[in-house]
Amino acid sequence: MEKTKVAVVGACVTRDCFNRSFVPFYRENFECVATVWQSSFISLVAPPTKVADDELVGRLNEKQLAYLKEDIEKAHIRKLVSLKPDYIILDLYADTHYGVCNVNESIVTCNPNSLMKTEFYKKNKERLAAVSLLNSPEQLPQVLQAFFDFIDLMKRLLPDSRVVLHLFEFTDAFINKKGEHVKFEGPKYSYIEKANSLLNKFYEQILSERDVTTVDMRNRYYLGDESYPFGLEPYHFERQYQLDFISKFSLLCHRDQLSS
Amino acid sequence: MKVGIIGSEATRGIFIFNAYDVSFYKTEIISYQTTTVSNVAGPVKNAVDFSAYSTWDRMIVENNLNKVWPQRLQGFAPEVVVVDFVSDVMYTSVQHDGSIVTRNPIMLKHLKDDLVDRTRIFSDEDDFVSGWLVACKRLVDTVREICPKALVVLHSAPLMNSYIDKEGIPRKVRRDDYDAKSTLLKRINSEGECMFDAVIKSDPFKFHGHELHPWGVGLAKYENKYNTHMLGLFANKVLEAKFERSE
Repeated sequence: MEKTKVAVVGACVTRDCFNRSFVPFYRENFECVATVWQSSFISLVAPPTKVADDELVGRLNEKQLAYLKEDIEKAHIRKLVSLKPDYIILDLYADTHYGVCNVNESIVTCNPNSLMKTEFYKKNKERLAAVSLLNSPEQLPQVLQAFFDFIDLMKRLLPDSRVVLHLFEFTDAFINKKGEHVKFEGPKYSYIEKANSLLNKFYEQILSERDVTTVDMRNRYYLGDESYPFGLEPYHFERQYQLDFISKFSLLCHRDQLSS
Repeated sequence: MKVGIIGSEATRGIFIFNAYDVSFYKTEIISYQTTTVSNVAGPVKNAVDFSAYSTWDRMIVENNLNKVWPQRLQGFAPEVVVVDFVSDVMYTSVQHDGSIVTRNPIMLKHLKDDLVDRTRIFSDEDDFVSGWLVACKRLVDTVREICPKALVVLHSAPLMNSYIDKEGIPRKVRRDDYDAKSTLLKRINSEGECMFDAVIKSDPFKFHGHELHPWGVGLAKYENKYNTHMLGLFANKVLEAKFERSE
């Protein structure tokens, strides 16, 4: 049987559901053909720009550099079109958490895992302040418009692909290595409640304006995981999360196949 | 050990739904589901006939109208008084008949026409906290005056944003007012701590509510695991205080 081709336009909260470390069997049915990594929708629909390679040096690995260049040059559209995924799964992590900054008359994601590690960022730090939903909630209409522009673009360029929005929330507690449930506490995590309220507002507005297919993960309470391979964070969930996501997504694909 | 409760289901549940044997503790409700501001206000002007009320309803309404909790405290003479502030954020305080009373479900059941349209006495959070701090101090001072030997303990109760459903699956509580109430409760718990002899709190551990809780799902109706954990902390604090006092 042919595998369903999936593209993830989002962050680890979605991408890790298509990772054998978390869902060992996912490749039986799915192939993750493309990842547009941690890019804000505002950046994704902005015009391409250029930053010289020698300015992009820094403590980035090859993958991080490749994703950063894609974000700057807006190469993701070409990538998605050439790979023709059956499903494009989106999440709003980058818009909530990272935000954007102006770079050479365009807009780029202010990503601490890529742009912010470069010499270019260090040199221009003062004029590259990040505007995210968390620090500027008034930006919500722009993010919303960018999100709609992106899905319209996908519908036009990839009419056979289906866009799915992953509705997630940050969690406020985690399982520690002793198996105890512990709250995320301290200033580092003070954003959780605000971020969730923003995300829910965002989801509500999207769904009231457009008929967008979703995988809604909010009806169950999930904990974070201290043993998560990529570190302890309010969006690095216990294994049940990725398993439930794949189950829900599989059902959605199955329903689509039956109705096509 | 005699334990008086000035609070809500959050504290009462600890001494009822517990994996440990709770028979060692003889608990008595001194004031229930009543705001601190209401507890320290004067009585209402006009007498009310409680003869048709059930015992439970009378316990709550009579205290709210006539402020009888100090007499109850004196009569029971507890060795420990446990206070929680869940009612302060779950219900509002309103003016009524020359006093301040709590607009909680039992009060509304009996005095709906008098209370339903009353505006709350505090306009915003800062106004609330400053009024509450004065009331809290007065409440604790009154407790100490009546029971000078009693250990006065704050149960720094949290509101739960999750519960375990009948199938054992954790679910999120969806309430628009949860964040605001939870933040306010954290704030007053923290600001009130210094007034008490001891504080019991579940931090940093995370607990849930439970759909099979005999009182149903609620923000302050905790799973037994919480109650067991808190009773352990409570016993420790009481022992610690006894030890300190005997030294």
